[in-house]
Amino acid sequence: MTSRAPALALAALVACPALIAAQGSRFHFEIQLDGSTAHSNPVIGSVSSSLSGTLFGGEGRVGLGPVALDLGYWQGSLTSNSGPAANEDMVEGKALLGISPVHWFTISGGPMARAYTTAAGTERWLTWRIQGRVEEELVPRTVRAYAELWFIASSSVNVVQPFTSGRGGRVSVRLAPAAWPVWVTLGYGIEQIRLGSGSRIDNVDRVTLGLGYSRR
Amino acid sequence: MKRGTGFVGAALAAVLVLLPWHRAVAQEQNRTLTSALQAYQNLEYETAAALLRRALAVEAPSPDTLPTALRPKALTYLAASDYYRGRKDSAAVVFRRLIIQDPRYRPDPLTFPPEVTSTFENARRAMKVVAVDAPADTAIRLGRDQYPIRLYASSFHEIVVGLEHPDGRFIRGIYAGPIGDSLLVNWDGLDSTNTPAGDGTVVLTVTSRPTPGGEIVRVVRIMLDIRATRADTLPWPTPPDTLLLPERAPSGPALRSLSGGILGAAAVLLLPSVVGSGTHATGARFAVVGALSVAGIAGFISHRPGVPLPDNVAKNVARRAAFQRQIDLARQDNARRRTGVLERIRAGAPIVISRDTP
Repeated sequence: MTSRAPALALAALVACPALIAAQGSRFHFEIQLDGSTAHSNPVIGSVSSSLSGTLFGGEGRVGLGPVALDLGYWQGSLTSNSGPAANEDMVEGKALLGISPVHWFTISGGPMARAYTTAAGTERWLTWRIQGRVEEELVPRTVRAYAELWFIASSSVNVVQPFTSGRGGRVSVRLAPAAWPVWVTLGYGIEQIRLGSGSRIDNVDRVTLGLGYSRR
Repeated sequence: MKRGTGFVGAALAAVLVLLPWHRAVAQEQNRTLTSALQAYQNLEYETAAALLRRALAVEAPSPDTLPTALRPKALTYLAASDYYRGRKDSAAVVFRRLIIQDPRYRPDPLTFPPEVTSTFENARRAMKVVAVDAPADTAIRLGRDQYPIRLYASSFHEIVVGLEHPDGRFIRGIYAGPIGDSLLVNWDGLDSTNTPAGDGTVVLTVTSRPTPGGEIVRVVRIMLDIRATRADTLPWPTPPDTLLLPERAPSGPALRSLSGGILGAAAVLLLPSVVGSGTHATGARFAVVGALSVAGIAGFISHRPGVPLPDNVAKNVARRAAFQRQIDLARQDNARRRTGVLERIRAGAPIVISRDTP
């Protein structure tokens, strides 16, 4: 991902809901701004490191009937807590196109890009994700829960080790009273990517607190 | 397709051939009448009378028949011709024939001199004739509609209008009294006991007398073919029992909310093991575990079995009210249908029984 790409993704994220809203109510959209406490545990060979930091960004969804497009962008800095890993800046974005055959289930797929920038250079990861998402109302008209599981079908990484496998998951709870257009969400997600047949394993998990707005 | 086209072509050809022939016949008759009128204008009353009798001779429906609209005119000129030929009795007979055919007809006083019109008036005053105009094919709703019968008299006299069976048994009297120029009487479709006349044939009779209780001089009978139909009642609307929503919460949603919260919390706890292969996960995720657990419990409480569901109660009230409205409408409609007997009445051609021969 080039340095311009995050800006373009953010512009698209902001512009799409406005465009859709202008075209009529048959479109639905939601947008969320959030902050995450992220923890990264890269393991190279037998050497592990630990980094943590805060990421800020947001994600949004625009939809027409059962079809929806998810866009997201986050960036922040991770500080080394232990191990040889140096401090790094982290930027990531996603674009997933999904369809909901039933109201409680969505299957989607698309690219997810991530960049780690250190003094030594920038690692760029471009992965293609297939994701399933279920949602359930816990408290009528007030609280909903979401669970996502995905696996990474392919990846392009500018490091020595070739891509082996990847998977992840996220569970969120959303406080969204029916009378309010805004909502608060709290979630936990984790992703693991293996490179070089396990010679390098990157684990990133995060807890996210977000504030969102939706219109249907 | 070709056959159909051939048939249409043959029919068109027949029309093209027959239409001029029919027109020629009509024109011939008109020429006869025109010649008669010309002879009348030339004071050739013998010739005029002969031509007019010839034109009027054919009464049966055929191409030679003088059109009905022209017959009163022809009769008037014939009577006038006879009058001027000195055959005043014959003129009176012709006028009586004219009055019987059309009691409303009057000779034009600008065309015919007073001696002719006065002869006509004398004949008219002597004649007690009523023309009956009843709808040939109509339907009336019993208790609501009336079957209109219009009567046109040649002169003032007494009439009795009634209904009877073909064998003469009385059904109902409709009117008894004088008639001047015209009169409208109505029949409500009921007999003398105010019950529907029923299916079958009844006879409408109009009896003319010169004076009340006088000798019957003329009776007009019209066969009325009556067919009564009663509308079916509507079935009751289906009760909305199957459409009613539960008004108190069942146990299913409560358990689903609780299990959803617990499963979500368990998923957060297990994700690091399942996805991250036992990596050391952040402890902050327990906040998410707690939130999901609390939400699941809150969902269970809000969904707990037996709790009234106001939305469902409101929807059920609306559905019951809608059902009651349908019941009321069906009840009203059925009440209307039970009393709503429809009588279809077809009138035949008038049959005249008269002392006077046209």
